[in-house]
Amino acid sequence: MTFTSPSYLLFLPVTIILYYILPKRMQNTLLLLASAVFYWFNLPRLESGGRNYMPLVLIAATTVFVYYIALVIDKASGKKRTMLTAFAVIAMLCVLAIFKYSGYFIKTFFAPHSLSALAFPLGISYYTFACVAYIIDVSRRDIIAERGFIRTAVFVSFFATITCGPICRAGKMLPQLASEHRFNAAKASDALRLALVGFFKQIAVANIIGLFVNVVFKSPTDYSGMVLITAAFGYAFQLYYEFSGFCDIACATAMLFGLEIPQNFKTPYFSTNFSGFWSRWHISLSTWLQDYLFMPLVWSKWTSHIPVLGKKVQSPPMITSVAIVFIVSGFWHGNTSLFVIWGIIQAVYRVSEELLHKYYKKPKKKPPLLLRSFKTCGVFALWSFSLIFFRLGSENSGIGGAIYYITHLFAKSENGFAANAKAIIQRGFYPKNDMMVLLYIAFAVLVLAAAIYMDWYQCFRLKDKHISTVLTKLPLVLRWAVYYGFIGVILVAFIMQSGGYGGNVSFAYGGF
Amino acid sequence: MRKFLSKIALALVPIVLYSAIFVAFEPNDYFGFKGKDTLLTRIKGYEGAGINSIVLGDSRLAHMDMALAKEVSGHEYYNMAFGGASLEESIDLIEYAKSVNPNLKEVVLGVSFYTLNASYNTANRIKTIEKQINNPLAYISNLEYNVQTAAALVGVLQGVPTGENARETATWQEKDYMQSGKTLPYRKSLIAYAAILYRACAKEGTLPSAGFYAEDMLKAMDNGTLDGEKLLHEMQNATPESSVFKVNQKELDRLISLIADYNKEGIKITVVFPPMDESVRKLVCEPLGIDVAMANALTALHATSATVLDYEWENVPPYDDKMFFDGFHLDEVYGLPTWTKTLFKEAQ
Repeated sequence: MTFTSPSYLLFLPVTIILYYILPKRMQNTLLLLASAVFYWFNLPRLESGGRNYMPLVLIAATTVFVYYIALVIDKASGKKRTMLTAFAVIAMLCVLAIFKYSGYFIKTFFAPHSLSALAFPLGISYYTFACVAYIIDVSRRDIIAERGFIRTAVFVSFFATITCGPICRAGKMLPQLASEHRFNAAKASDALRLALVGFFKQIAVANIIGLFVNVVFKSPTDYSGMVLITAAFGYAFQLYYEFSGFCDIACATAMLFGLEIPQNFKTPYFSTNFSGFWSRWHISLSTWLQDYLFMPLVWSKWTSHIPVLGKKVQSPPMITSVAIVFIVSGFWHGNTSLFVIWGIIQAVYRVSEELLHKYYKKPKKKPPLLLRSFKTCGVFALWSFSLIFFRLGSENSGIGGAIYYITHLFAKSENGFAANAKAIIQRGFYPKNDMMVLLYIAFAVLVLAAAIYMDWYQCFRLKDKHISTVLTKLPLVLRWAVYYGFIGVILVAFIMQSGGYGGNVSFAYGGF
Repeated sequence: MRKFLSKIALALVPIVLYSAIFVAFEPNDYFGFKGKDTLLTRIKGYEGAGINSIVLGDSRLAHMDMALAKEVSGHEYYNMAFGGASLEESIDLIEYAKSVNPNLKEVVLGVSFYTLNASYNTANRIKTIEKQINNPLAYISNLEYNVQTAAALVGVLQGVPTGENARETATWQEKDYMQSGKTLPYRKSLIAYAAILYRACAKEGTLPSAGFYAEDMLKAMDNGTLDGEKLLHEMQNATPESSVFKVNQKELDRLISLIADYNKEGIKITVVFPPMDESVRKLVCEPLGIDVAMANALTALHATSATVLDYEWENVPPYDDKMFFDGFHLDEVYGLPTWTKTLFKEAQ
């Protein structure tokens, strides 16, 4: 079950109705039960046809561990507190590493082993980071440890955030779970508007672009030149609209239960540098890395412990910390070498930018339109280039595949771009006639243009308030015309991909 | 709250409207409101039909009258054959039938050189259809069905008859054999049909073409843009060097292994090669050497425990061309009933 599967459209209203009908003290218990059901639906299948319960056991064990260790850390002080915190963080990161990387390393370096067949637990990267943040916050005395087990369990496993985040902070989430929630029609309407935009981004934009992009990335060696360039740019759009759409639906889901979770994207493709980009892309992860990795790295003076060099370099250079953060980010995103390369590329972008700013004066806050557009396009092109590694990593392609892709970006294609593109659309979308190919192109271009315009409006006119908020300000008739427009486009897009039952839709960020 | 719910209801209007239109015009009568006979209704209807003998294959068996089969054989058959069925799909369908009816006793499976052709690789629809049978949303959201629904809706709005369930029958006249004042040795529609089959078994570009379907070729012959005599001559003078025909060994092996497994379970399998018109034999099979290529497959099938009823190569019935609607399909009025009686008598 995902946010866009029909079963979710039944599951969600039933859960909401029960949530507001049941006594208020039962609300968190219901959320926990609903999260367990959602998680159960997403358990991997065994060859025998049954479900593999390992991920469910793991998340339950993590919850129990985090609940108790946080209480113990809260009571402890001094060195004991530090030791316990270190133990808890290392333990959780080890579990994450075992489930995320063991399969890859064993398969790569050793003979096949039972460990290489470990089921990948849904959302382990998200809930592990949320738990690590919670424990460190308790240790830093930024928050007190949660006494209610159910509340801790909902914080860890809340179904709205388990699939793809955002990575919630305990300090924001737990107090909300401690209060009672009454149904608020106005807030529910806001949530549905947000969800509508999220569905549009995911189903009508990302999945439609994906019908082309997925075919190319499945067998990139069949193509060269413009096709590969188009697919690389296409994937940048696909990933963004897919992920931000999912996060919109996650936020909307939480709002329907009276909860507020952080916004994960703020129109990152209008950034003029990578520093800005990373403050607008996957914000919950970026801020996590900043708070729990970058800042401790800067404060810790770890370079002073290095023999000989340590005497000269007391404080670690900022660019070293930046590089470490992005390499860790690469590891977080995936378990193949291509994700690590992707992380290194991000590090190179950011470090180069810092060096440029250091040796040349920092650019003006508001550059002229032409320069701004040039920089925006440059950031987007560099980002799209790095995503070639990211996407091929998701496809379990090796470094050879990435080298082929990069070296053939500007190669001449055999049959010409138009003929290749037509063949790809016929493979990914509709095999039979040319009219359908033209319809696909027209639809894809229109929805992408609409989505980019929405982002532009959000970025420059709404000062990054979500685009869905503007809908309430429209006159009644126009507002409903826009709603119907969105619903109609989503419906058409849903059919264009045969509802996902026969197409090749996928969700890249669900695998973390 | 009431206001909120009414807003939700209003938002759902387009979805309800779309669903209503889809149900009214969808091509397969999935919901059973129109009483149409389609592949989906056939497969869907088998579960719980309580019939332990099934007929499978492509369009050559799909139009058989099952009441007549019952009359001849003395017991009921359920027809799950469908147009364009590949051998892979038919075998999948046998396995599906057995999974939903553990009491399955008899399978009559139609195969031919056409379905055994290795290059006849249609996308396997059975897995998708199984999914659609169990999940109405998978059916409703299917792009192909939506395109067909839209075409049906447009047809109705334009007042164009849909032509559904058109019977494959016709009475042929002298003009059907004439082109440019000359009488051709075969009916023009048979030449056109043979040309389509030829193209499926021969190297590309070895035959003049005037479209993808036999109807296109016939139309071109009628309006004089395609010379029927030349077409005939090209096919008659072809050699096996022009052929790309190869038996689909993978699926043939799968069929042979299925026959052995089902034999152990007491399920009787009859493999049927339906009759074809002489034009196909003389213009496609013999020139391209398909008859020779098929010999091994026939021997392999004869060596199994299955009953092989071969009306295509060995036991060719003396049907004249007027009994055939086209080169492959027996006329539903003048030919098919005769063969149905023969088949179900010999299958017992």
